[in-house]
Amino acid sequence: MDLVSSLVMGLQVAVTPINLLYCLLGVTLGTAIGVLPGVGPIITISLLLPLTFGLTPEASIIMLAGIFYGAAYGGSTTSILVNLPGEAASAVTCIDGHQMARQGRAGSALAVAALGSFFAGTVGTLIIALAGPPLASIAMRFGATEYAALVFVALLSTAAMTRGGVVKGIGVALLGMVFGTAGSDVSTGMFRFTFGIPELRDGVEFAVLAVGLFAVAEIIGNIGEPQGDAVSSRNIGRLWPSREDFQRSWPAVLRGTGLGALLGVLPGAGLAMSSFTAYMMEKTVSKDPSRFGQGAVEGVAAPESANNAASQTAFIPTLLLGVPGSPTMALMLGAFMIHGVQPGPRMMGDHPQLFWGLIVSMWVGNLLLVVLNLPLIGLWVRLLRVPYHWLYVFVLAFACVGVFTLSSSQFDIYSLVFFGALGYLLKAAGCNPALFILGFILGPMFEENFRRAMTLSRGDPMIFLERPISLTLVLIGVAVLLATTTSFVRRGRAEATD
Amino acid sequence: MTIHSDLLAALIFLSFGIVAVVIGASYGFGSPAALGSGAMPMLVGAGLCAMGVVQLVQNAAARRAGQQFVSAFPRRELRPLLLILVAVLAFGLLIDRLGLLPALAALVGISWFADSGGRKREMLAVMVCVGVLLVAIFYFGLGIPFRLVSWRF
Repeated sequence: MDLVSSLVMGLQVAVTPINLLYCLLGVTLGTAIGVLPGVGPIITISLLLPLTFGLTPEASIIMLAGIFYGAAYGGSTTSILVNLPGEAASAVTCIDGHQMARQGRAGSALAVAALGSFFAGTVGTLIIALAGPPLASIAMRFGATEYAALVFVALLSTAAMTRGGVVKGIGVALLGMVFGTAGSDVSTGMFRFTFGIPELRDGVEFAVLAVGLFAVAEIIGNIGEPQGDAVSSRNIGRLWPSREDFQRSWPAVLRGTGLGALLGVLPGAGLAMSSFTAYMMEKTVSKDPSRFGQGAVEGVAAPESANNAASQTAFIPTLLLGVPGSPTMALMLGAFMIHGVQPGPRMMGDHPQLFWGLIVSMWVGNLLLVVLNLPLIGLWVRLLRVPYHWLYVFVLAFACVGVFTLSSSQFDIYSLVFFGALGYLLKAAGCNPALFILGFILGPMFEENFRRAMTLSRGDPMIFLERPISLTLVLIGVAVLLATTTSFVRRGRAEATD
Repeated sequence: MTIHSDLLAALIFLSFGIVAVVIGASYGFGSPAALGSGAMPMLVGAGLCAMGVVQLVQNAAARRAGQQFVSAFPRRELRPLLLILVAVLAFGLLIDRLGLLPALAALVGISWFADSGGRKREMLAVMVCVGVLLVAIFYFGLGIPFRLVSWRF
């Protein structure tokens, strides 16, 4: 099947009135929740996850795609207007975006961010559509050994890349893997870590874990923290960027898109890396680097497009291999699996409607964002003025009711208390709970393939070094680990996070 | 001795690692060619223990270098921690017995005091808003058959 007919099929799935409606609903809700200060995309997605459960697989995945984009866009809005990044990826946008807002150019910054993201999203969609079929045929040749090695590398490199140090990163990912083993063992049917609780036989409920670790724990940590200033949120200025802003930003958008699309595919490099790198690159190629930090429009355009291109191409490993490269992707993968969709090299062949529908609806979601949310910006800004005291009570209530709707079980609410406490402890220990999610999702995948590979090799672990693909992957993992522990990268990263 | 964040991380890794290894051992490791149900919990648990030990060694080195540690649990976070968790727990206890609205009222009523400086009259307003919004979204919007108010003990 060629590219055009695939995309047309995707379009037919995504543009039915009912699916379009769900996409719109997802984008709107995602922005509405994502724009709230201190609520990042991960929290937004996990909070809204229960809303998609009653729908058909197509509709729910399309709505999730909308939520994903809405959340990311809402996060950028908050960074620009209040200087309060919801996640690491939008921290860079704060630097120049907030300066622009202070100069009364917030509207322009928001428009550049949205248009740049849309362009990057379009390119990203095309890349997935082009690269998908050939990559899937390579991925089909992956056996258990290669899969185990791939998951290992994805986990290791993500853990090594995150802030807080390699030891804590690997530790918290391993902790997630332990929780992932709970429930019945797929190979033997034995119940593990169920402690006689029938609700645990199917394992730990993913949505409960996500809401507890992120939403509940985040609320506990945020109360009492000093809140960001909302000074600049009053005056947005005009929405359409000036001619000068346009001329300055389009090359930045192009560079950012290219860089982001490239980095997004790598497991572990992730979104934050792409926006940091794009910002650094703009500063390097600029004729007047001193403008950066003073409200340079390129400082918004490049990282935002890089971020969006990366979040689009990050779907390549997630959808084609079933191996997510970032915690947000792990969350999306978990959501897909709840709906009975198992991403992997077979997805394109077995569920072409779903696969292409998702790809196209990603793009449609992006388009809806630009067309509908940009003019509504005044409404989102008003949401920023809701006092945190009201906000956290509402988010907490939403989280509890959402979790309860999953299976109307009180046990889920008690688990929510447990994971809220665990999430708080992990944050207090300086561990990134997002890695916990990644370990939780990848753990069972690793176990299954690792055990199968060991059986195939009759118990010889050297098989991972004898097969060429798996050897390459293991070497990459080791190289990333070594690179991040050497002083050069550590210094660069410290600079980027300051 | 203060529990600082690096020590806390080591303690979390070690305690969960030991539990995983001990309980995992009871599921059986199997043989390398036929790994049992306990193999992965034991291997991952051992990895966790190793990370815990490495973290402890790093902490000792930092202590010798004269680094000052701050407690991982600032006192001002204790109140939100307890009240938020109790609020969620109360919601779980009440939702089946009294229905959605009383459970939400308890949730709002308890969690409101997690942050200082909220007025009681404002709390009532929030309670009404939360009730109306959530019933609108989940009960009417999504059509989930909640019991809004019920008496079941």
